Amino acid sequence: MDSKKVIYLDNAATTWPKLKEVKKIVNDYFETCCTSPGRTNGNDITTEIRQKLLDYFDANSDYSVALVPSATIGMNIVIKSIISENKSNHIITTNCEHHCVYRPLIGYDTSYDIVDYLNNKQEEQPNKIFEKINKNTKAVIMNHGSNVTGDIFNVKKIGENLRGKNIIFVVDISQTAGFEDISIKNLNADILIGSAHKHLYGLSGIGYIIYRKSIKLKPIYYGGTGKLSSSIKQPEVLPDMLESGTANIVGLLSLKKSLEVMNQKKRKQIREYENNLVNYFINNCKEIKGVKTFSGKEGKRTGVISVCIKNLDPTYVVAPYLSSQGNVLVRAGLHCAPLIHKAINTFPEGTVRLSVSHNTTKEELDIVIKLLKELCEE
Amino acid sequence: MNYSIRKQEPCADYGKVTLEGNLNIEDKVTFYKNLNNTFSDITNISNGKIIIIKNPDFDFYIYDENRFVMSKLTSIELGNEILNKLFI
Repeated sequence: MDSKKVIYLDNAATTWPKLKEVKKIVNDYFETCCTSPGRTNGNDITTEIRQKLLDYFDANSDYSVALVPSATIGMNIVIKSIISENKSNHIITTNCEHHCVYRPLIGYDTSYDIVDYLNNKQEEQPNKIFEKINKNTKAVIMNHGSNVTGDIFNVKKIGENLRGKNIIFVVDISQTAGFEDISIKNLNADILIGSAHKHLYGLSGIGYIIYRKSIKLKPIYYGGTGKLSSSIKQPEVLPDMLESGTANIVGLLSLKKSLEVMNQKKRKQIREYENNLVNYFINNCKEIKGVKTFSGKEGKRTGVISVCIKNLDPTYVVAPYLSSQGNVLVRAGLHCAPLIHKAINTFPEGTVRLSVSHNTTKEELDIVIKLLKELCEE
Repeated sequence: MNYSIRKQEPCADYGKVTLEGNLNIEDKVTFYKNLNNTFSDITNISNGKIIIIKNPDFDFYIYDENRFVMSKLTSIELGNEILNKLFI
């Protein structure tokens, strides 16, 4: 890596730099005594974090929280649980998802349908899901925000329609937690799955499942839970049974601090700031012949923009050029979401994804725009 | 002139193979002459920062005249054959 300043535009993968408050709490951890959550006697921060997550996502006492190592592991737990009682249980999802949905569906040999969602008018999108419901359908799983185009989907309507149908509505909030104001009640969701290290600006290695208590989730890995140790059998107590192994204490501390700092006021500031950056970038790209951008509509998008340059491979030409000429860090390719690339006609090469944060500046985007212009002039 | 391969792996998105490695180009004049004699579709970006060679059987990218990626290769043998032709 060149020693000159890095222009970090891969915040959809993981945000950087993290919050200064997160950095402080992690540093403090090394200076003070800390406990193993649920093991060492003393203050157990997991209880505090569970409550903070419930409050943050406006979940009442009908819901509980499992703390897991990542959103992907959370999704695996949920999918495996849904099909564990009956292999023919059917799950509906969309073509806008991440591999954290597709690969467990296939890996666990699930019965599923993937709905062509993106290329429909917004008002028609929920119907595409409802059309696929059959007597075996047990769950609908979908993204709140796309990690490729930044679209924020209107999942509320889907949740409303599913209410009372005995179908579990699972929403992946990995891209929107800490960015949007998310209320599990307003989304009519039964389960939210997310992580700490994206727009919450916490550390990687921590995910969470916020689930309706009536849903019987089951573990995908087994071991010590710190409780009911007299039995060698995994205790059938939620959420403990999903959380075997020593918790990631540093990650948990970072999540705790993130939830405190990334409040409604801060989220609003960040949304407005990032929205201006996205507009600035898109408008400038319109002036460059050969560049195509993909992003959600204003007010319904995150800070993610996908970019294509005609005839230039994103992985082998555009991203290396940005990196070598401007120290610009982006993510190129399919972003673990191949089906949405098929929908926007960028498969199999994919796109260059730029994802801004509140640390990104217009001056940094100017450098990217200049480099894209250079590539288009070749 | 010589080359070394540091990575060979399936091409995740194309069902083919990718070779990555380093190049030691001692004589640039000969290198570009070989390149031009061997391939017809060559794009040179920013004076050799990235050289792109498109071919029905592979895409060949040379970076900073010192490292390369051959993607969408139909076989590793084909990659070796081309590299041997150019650099040995």
